[in-house]
Amino acid sequence: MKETAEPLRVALDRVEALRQSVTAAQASLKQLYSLILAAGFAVALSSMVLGIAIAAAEGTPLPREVVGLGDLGSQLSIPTPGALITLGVLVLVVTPAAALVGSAVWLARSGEWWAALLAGIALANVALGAVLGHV
Amino acid sequence: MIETLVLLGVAAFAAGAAGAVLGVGGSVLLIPFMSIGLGLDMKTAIATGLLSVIGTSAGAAAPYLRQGLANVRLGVLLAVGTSSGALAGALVAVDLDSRYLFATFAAATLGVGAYMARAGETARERAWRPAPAPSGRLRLDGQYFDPEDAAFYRYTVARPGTGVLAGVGAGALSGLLGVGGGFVMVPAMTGVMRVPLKPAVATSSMLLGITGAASAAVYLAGGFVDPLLAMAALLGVSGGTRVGIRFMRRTPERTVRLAFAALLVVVAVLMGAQAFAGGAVP
Repeated sequence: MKETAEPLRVALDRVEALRQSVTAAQASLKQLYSLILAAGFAVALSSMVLGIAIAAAEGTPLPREVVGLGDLGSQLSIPTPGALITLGVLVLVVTPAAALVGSAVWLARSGEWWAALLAGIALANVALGAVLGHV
Repeated sequence: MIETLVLLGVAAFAAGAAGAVLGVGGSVLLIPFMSIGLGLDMKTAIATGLLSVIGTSAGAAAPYLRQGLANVRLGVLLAVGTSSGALAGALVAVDLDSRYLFATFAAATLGVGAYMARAGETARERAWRPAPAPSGRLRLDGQYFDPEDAAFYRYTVARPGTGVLAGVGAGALSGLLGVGGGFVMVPAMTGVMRVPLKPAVATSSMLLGITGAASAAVYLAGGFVDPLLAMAALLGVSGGTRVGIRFMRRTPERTVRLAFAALLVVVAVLMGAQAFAGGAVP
């Protein structure tokens, strides 16, 4: 009886080890995606709040339009409230795309080429949206 | 102006909470509120709504991912459809009469709401269902822990191609009307792809950000973004999302599903009224 049970136990242990490794790999991808989203959201929100705080401290009117990309760099060096709020909006829009980039790289490095290709296609669509918006 | 910002912040809080619980971006509630309730320009409302969609997605999807509820591979697959649809929708929206948009929106949400109210299968019944070959090749299958049942579930994903097509439709609505498309994707995932509701809601939250980003860039470049409105909406949404996530983990599946169906009926009535009123999109 013991001779029969031992190979079965070894096989079950191997299956469990495989399951845990797959689970760990999935958790790693989820953590990466989660980290990028959380970081992007925090940066976007912080930038906007800082912009409002500076405007309130200086007593300047709050901006009603986003700053153009051409002026953003120079205004951020001061920094102006409008530039900080615009930066927050930009970071917010770019955050999902950044998470897609991270996923595509992770999937490609894991040899999941089909999934990486799909992430690349979705990313290309987001980029195309940005290009079409400027046309 | 301060009153508008406060009202918008409160509405965004409610929308964020509802969005996190129900897997919708929140703009499906915010856009009617801004255009009808606050009398804002429709394109500005859409742009603000899209930014709130991204905010809801980032705020809700990150904890859902850490909790293991969201399925990244499934989200990436469906993002191919939603982002493609969002591009097409944004291109078509320029020439389409807004009355047809509102009428189509109302009809679609009413149909999806009826479907959600009728479907009664539980996550437990869907667990361990065999999946067609494409699901296995793309490794879409997932697993999650459900605190409601104190149980660990695995599930398989059926008909991924049909899910991508549903994503194209959801993305097109996002591009046309500024909504995230979660109200299409959650039923598509639960009904067509056989994904349990909680992973479907979590994956939808992740997906909304990608879809919203594709559409929001167009409005941002077009100068339709009011940073103050965006800020108020984002702050409200981020607070509401945190509250909604707490409810999501502990709310029974049936309650989530019926609340979602009721929400869709309300949205359908609002949009239908807009269609008969001649549409509000300039």
